[in-house]
Amino acid sequence: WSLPMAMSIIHRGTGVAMSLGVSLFGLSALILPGQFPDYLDFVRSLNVPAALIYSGKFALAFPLTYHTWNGIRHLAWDMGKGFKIPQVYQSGVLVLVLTVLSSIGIAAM
Amino acid sequence: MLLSSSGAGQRPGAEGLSRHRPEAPPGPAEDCSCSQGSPHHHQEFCGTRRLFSFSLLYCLQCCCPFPARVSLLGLLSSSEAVLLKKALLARSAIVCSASEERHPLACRIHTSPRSLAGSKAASLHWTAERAVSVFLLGLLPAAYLYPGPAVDYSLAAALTIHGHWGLGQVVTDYVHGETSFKLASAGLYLLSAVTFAGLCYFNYHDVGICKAVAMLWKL
Repeated sequence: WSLPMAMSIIHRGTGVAMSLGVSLFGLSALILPGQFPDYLDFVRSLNVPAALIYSGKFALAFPLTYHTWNGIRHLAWDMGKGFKIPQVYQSGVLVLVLTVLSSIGIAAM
Repeated sequence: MLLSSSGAGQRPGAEGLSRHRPEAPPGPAEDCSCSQGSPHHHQEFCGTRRLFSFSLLYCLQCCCPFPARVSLLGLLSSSEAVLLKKALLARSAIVCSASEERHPLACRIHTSPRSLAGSKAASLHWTAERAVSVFLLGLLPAAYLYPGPAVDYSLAAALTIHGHWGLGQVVTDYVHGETSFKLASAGLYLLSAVTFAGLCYFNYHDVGICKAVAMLWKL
């Protein structure tokens, strides 16, 4: 397994996961009773510890940021840039660093 | 000093490889037989590599009712005059290898002759996928800075289409067999339709996507 290989399948995996998540959300909107704020109130009533709330936000942000940054990497390839093997690895590492940093930042918001 | 070669491989044009180097003024295209008129296309390489590139373009200019793309790699040394006759080229871009001197006569022409391509549907689809991706990328900061119905419905549309086409690629890659593929595609269309309906319903009857994310994050 190489880094580019792994990052490629993770790009697909995060894409599929988020897509299914969005579909589940849309389906729920059609099927479940009540409004969105009611469900949030319910979660608030559970008094979930802050660390768990942060972890949840991180878990949501991570696939989005990974897919977004790596998506930009894909668009660069589509423009013909960054095909040399060292560049592929460098841009890959950059994507991973940006992913972690932005996930941490977004989860803290 | 003419050398004709049989048709080169028919591969989709390599877009990123097209670069033309004008090193000599265009020579007269006496050998260009496009005076015969349409609807044939041809390509001729006359003389040395330098002359060739320009003659080629000159020829192509006068007989190219159909666009095509060619990238030419690893051209022959300048000491040999080559005339390459090929039946299916028009407007083209040429790349000549910088190390031509070391390489023997070895022309690889990659073309995407439109007459054989059938339709540009696949190419347009590819471009549309990238366009939607870029659009969706712009929607992310827009959702944060300008939340509201415009961004909500744009997100609903862009997310659905981006997801639909993405899952479509997954289906194409992993689902084999005519019937299975049709089944999976139908299921995907159903899923995307329900998704879009659900998101629009949420935008209309509930708080909307931007507000929902903002409220979720305030938990």
